[in-house]
Amino acid sequence: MPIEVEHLTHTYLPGSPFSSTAIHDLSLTIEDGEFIGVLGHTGSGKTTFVQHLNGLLKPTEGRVIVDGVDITRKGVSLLDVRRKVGLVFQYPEYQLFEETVAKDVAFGPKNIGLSKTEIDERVRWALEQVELDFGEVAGVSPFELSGGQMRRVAIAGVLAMKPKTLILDEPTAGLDPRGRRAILAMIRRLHAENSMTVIMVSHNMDDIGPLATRLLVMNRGELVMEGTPREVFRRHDEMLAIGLGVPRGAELLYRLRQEGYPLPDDLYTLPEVRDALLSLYASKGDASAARTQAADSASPKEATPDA
Amino acid sequence: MLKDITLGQYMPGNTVVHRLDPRTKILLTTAYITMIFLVGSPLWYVVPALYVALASRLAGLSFGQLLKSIKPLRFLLILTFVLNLFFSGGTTIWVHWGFITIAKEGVLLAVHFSMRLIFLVVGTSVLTLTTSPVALSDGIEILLKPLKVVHFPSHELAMMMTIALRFIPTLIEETDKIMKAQQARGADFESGNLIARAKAMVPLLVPLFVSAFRRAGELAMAMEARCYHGGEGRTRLRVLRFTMEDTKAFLVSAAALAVVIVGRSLL
Amino acid sequence: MDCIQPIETQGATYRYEEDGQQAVDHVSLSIPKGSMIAVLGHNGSGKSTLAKLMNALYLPTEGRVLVCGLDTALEENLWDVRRHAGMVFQNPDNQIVATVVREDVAFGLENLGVPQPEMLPRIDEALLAVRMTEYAAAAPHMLSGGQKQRVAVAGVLAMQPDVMILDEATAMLDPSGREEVFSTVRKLNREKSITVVWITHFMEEAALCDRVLVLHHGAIAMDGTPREVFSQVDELKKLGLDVPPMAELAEMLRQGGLSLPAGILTVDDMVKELKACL
Repeated sequence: MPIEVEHLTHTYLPGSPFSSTAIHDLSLTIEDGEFIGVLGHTGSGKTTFVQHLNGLLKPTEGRVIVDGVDITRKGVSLLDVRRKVGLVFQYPEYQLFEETVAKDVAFGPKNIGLSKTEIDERVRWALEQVELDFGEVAGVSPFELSGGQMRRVAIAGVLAMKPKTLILDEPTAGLDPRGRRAILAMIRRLHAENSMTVIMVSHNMDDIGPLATRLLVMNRGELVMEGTPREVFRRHDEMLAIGLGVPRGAELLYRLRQEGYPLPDDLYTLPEVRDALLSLYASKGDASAARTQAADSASPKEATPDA
Repeated sequence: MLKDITLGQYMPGNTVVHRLDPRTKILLTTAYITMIFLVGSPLWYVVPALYVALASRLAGLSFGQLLKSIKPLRFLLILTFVLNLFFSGGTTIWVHWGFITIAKEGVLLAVHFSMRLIFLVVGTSVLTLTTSPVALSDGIEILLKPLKVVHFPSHELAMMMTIALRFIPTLIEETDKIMKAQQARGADFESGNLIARAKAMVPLLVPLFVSAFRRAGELAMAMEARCYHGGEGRTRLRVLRFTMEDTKAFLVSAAALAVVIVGRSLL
Repeated sequence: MDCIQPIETQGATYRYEEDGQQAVDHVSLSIPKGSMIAVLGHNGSGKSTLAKLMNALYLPTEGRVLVCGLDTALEENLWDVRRHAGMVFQNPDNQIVATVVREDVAFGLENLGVPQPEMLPRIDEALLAVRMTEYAAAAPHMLSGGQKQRVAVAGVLAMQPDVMILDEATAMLDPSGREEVFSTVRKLNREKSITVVWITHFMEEAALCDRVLVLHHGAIAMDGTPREVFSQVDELKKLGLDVPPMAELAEMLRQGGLSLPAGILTVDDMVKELKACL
């Protein structure tokens, strides 16, 4: 179920003195099973962009085609689109409203018009996906849960629609480190186990780098960079120029290359940075260090000279 | 975006009318309303008409802006006109056709009451178009201060108005967000009969109220942390001062009011 | 009045319910004048409660909290305590009261009964210090999150406090907003020697403070300079906290045979140390 975006432009309040273009002429295709990271600072248009993918916003110009259907056409069943593309908003816990967790998660499936047994089955499934215990939380008021748990319930509410594509807008915003790591691990698992396409909006490079298969970088409503994390993070200067920066690992290697060390420019995770540094260290001829490294590190990456 | 829309009717500017003390404007508007109720016959509306024309000219308001303020009231206006036209009775019959009777007195009353309504709205619009909501709440607070002896909470009332004004844009934005979030879960706010639509509002209203209460709690704590303890011993950044311009405005209004009173007694 | 000891807690304890768990459990702590101390801990560790004890929003159920020598539990000290110890909260939207930036900065001064002519220069100075002068007449809802928080800081600053307590003031901001607010406060701390209690769960911010305090179950679990605290990688992980990436990498490199000194926190540190051994 690919999502094709063709020449998407979105202008808020067109024709009024407050008119502003949030997205300008954006085209791309998202294939099944991708994990897309959408980067950009506040006001870059990333939230506006993802709200087009399930028809919450209508483009001023251009088309969005989901599963072969142009969802920007009149008369298209938006309910159908929303079953296919689930969107978890920023701070989604603020949308909870039902008396119990189970009822809240059931809201989406009920709107689709599923049978009672089907709804029940989906609620159990969705809560399981977000690693909450059905027996423990189903009958509890969502407002009695902790912040992190509320967020999981809200995500379950979207998962219960069984979307093929899941969009998450800043899913870790405002969480403490433990909560953040748990949510990220959960998203990674959702992507891996359910062959779900995931689109995650984030401004945290260290969060998104290890997860995404492709990054989209937005700036002032335009798609300015696109590629694998490796391809994007090596463009250090450009990322800095639009106020984004790169993961610390990539930043370190960049700084060392500036100092003249022959280090590769396409690494960013800490283990691969470690390997690159250790192999450089070993090549300096310190025999004892090289031995230790060979013993500790199973497959050290070849350090390639700076291009 | 929704939050970019200016709130209320206020049109910022720096004219004499904009600069007048809000208390002056509130008092003058009160005088103006009194004047309208004192007008005895349609002809005498010429005085408030001149008065409003002068005020709006000084304020740099166009005729169109004033007309716009009547627009929401058009049905009420038509209703007032029609009811008075047909049902006020009278002796000088002008039209008699089937069960419809239009008398001269009816026409006069219909015009009279419609004019009264129009002038009321247009006049008060001059106030709201030229005075920011904050200045208005300031003016009201100070004007109502004497009522403190009967324990009227004038400071609290003004503080409530300020906070409401501050949070309206925030809540509008939030409403938009919650609505979209529920739509993403298949909620439908637009179709169905009245009951279905009312029911569809629950997923919007519950989170909105929960959030408003949470905000209220946090705001209360933040206000306390900044030493807020009611109106007692509080000073103000915005100090209201009457100027020569205010005096002139009072004189002009007094004159207009006098003309209307004289006109009424001559009739 | 000169404030020699901005914050001192003596076995301060707080429980929300009569016989509930202690949210803050016998915390004794003294914060020297002019220092910037970071308080870390996962949600529910008691950081926020501790902050509210320092501003008399909560009163200790046991022990004492002294702000500039004033016991927060005494009612006659209440407004003095809050003037000495200003507080900035997490949600930028829920702490701005007025519809115009300048008037919001004035809010605290109005409450203190500062005469109007005296307010004006204090407001201007506060807005200048947080670099928001050009937004003095703006409506708060048109500002970015970072700008709103700087307005909140100005509102506290105008009251000329000795201590500023920021309770996760950057939690809801994007990276540039975070940096904007942190550097503003750090500058105020250095230039005006305002004591700062910076509550956060961003390790990178804590790494730039003078001292780091880690709370766990309402008690102090770690206390020291950033270098001391962040070199205990395993301990931090056990407490559910993040380790700054460079501290983690340093540990990984040490295990790989590189001899790196303790206390590497930032990319700058790492570059310096690697240059010495590569």
